[in-house]
Amino acid sequence: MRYYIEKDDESDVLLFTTSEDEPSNYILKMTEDEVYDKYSNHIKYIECCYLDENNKLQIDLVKVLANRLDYLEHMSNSKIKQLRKMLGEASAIGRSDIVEEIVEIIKEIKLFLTADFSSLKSVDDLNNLICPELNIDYEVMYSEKLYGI
Amino acid sequence: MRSCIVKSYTEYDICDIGVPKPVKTQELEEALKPFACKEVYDKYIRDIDIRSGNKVSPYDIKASNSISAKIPDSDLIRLFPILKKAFPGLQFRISGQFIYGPGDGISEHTNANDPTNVIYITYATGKSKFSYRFSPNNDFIDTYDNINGLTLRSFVASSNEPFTHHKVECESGYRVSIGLRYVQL
Repeated sequence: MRYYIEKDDESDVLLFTTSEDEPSNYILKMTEDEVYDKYSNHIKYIECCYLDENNKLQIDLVKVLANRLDYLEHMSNSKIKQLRKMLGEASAIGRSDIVEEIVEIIKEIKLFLTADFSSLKSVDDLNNLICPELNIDYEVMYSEKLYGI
Repeated sequence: MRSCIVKSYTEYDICDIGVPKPVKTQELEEALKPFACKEVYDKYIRDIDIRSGNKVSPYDIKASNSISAKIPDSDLIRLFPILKKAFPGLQFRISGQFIYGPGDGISEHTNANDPTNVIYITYATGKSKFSYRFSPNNDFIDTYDNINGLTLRSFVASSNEPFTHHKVECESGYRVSIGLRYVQL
């Protein structure tokens, strides 16, 4: 099996493909090592790639940042939804201490998304951009805190 | 007259990337110190994971042997505001939330599957160390923890060679260790 970056004839979009036969419109042929090392970020963010004036594959960092922020926003919304559900439950059983804690976490998640990330200048940094509140499973944590289960 | 106590900490810049400088060091130390004791260690679930015995590969991505207690997320979350205040220029996630007791440790591993800059913030009460090497052909370089104080270590968890092979051994006392995988804004 060989690995290729192709350009779609109709849309000009770049695509990562695997194929036994050499595609007619490929712009880059990669070894397996290159797929997992040199070009791993290009493949991960293929929709953010373009060909420069020398026909070399490049990554548009602004697009990667936008892509990453979309992902983080989606993740944040999902966590906030989880937290709001637990907020209702904590309020219903009169745990004002936990209500306060959850409100602070929601504020922190929202604050994170408003930060200025324009100083990040590498794909690796953008890959690692996150805030600690997004890595917690709140249903598990608050089920234990509220109901001991 | 104003008096000022300057709290010191020890730092190890393992991969020459610089150790992020903390502010509010005293607050950070006071937040970690209560975890480094027998009562808290015994309260938490002790995580014993012995998969390889004495046959540890230096290229293990995740350690095959480790014994420590894990700080639960419900307690860890209270540290987030303090960590954010201490490192205002960092965006991070937690990658380690350990308390090592006497005789505990974690075997050599690389974390090569999760490449990023790492800082470990440690408060120890006894003799404990973090050891590293960049090749299995070399001897380990030992870095000892500050006793009853903070130790900061930064290194790169690289997906390519040279990896930062590292391990922890806690000979005596209790050692709380919080790992942050970070990007600097």
